[in-house]
Amino acid sequence: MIDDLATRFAAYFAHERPECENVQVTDVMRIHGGASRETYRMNVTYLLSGRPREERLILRRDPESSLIETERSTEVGGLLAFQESEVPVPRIDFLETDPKWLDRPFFVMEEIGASAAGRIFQPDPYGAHRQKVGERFWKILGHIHAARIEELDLSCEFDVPDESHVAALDHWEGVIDEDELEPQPLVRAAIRWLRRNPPLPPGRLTMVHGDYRHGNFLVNDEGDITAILDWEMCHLGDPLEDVAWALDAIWGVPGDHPGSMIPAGEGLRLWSKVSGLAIDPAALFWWRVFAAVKGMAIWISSAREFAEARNMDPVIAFCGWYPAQVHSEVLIELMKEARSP
Amino acid sequence: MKPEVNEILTGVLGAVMTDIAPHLPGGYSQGSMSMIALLMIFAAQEYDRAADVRARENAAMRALFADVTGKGAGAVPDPDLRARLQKAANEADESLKVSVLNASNSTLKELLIELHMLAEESDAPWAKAADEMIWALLAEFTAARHLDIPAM
Repeated sequence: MIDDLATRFAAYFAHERPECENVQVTDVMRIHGGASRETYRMNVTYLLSGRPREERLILRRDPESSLIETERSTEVGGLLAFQESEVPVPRIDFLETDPKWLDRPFFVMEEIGASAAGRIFQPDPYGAHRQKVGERFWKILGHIHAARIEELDLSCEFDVPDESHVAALDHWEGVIDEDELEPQPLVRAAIRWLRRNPPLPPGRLTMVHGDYRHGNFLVNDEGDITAILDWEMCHLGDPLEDVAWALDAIWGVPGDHPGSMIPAGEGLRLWSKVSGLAIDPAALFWWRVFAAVKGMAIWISSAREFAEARNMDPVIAFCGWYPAQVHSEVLIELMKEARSP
Repeated sequence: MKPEVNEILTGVLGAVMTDIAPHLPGGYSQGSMSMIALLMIFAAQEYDRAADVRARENAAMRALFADVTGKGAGAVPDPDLRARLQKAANEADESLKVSVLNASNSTLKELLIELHMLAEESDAPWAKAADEMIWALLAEFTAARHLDIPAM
């Protein structure tokens, strides 16, 4: 299957770049963790004006079924919006929707060399660099939200919600309605609380990454964040959605250090300074409850995918079980706080 | 049966991690094997408690429904819901098979959601008490299904 992919992608590359001769695709390896798309690393060599060239590329192909049902154009749209900006993102080389090339749509981006994503269950994933990584993590999020949407180069259309919290909640409640395999009294109670206690609207709408967290960015050996990845849930909305998601306990909060980086308070101060946005504590709390509900929606979808044998990747089974349990525990704690006088 | 299922899963896990996983190619295969190992750990935890967790949840919801409907017509003013709660309160699980317990668990949780919504909308004393009891149950249910994850 991998050999076939190499041959077919070589044909595609040669078609798209007719100036390149003798295109060879080698070292194709599927990368684990791309739960929403099949992700492959590959090496492409060719001759350009008679000179040998080499590119390391990442190919993200739509799966037959995925953890998050998203359009690849959304992910590419998010990446393109922040090319050549303070937000490090990989260069996008191709976006192909015609299934004749690789059976399903795909896009291709540069591989960021000598970098790796922090592992979710690693106790101290950034080690001696945790302060540097943490500061950069929150500053980059500040840069995403500092960007004026009217000034971003948006290659795909993003809906402009009238009320971002309503749009977000409607969307994820709809996912739960569609995908739940069993009644969810805890999640339903949390959703009703969210409906009864709407947050203040954001000062302004921003691009929301949608999955900004520990594990979705690359870090090099010097502790530099070299790329922000996984933009498949990006949309326009309330920036606190990203802030709350990044703070979520599911990403590891030893001693209130989200993502095993810097303390939450320090991160929030950096984010505010760079984004120029203030934080309303009640609104942030609302978005934290929302984050757990959104997480539950994703895990509920995942459980259904696996139960109906639409995607038998072990990571899909895992997501339908463990994170759902963790987010249930998070919701219990948050709702305890919400209900306390 | 000896060894028990949880013992088999955790025992085989050792072979998976030490004898099999290191020989797999990196990337997707090793990542998937890590996921499979975690799923085996969870399955081992769930095996021993699965029926107990569900039977306790079902009993607790039936007891709540009996308590709420036993307060007379002032509580649960909707006669249809009250009748369904009373009926559910008087039922019992006919088997300890997980599939059977799951079926009644789902039915009871649907009723729990309805009752919770009603309680949230009412200012009556029964409603406040019911709301508190439901939150206490939800916390108990969640804690009972906690999964321990080893350091990887």
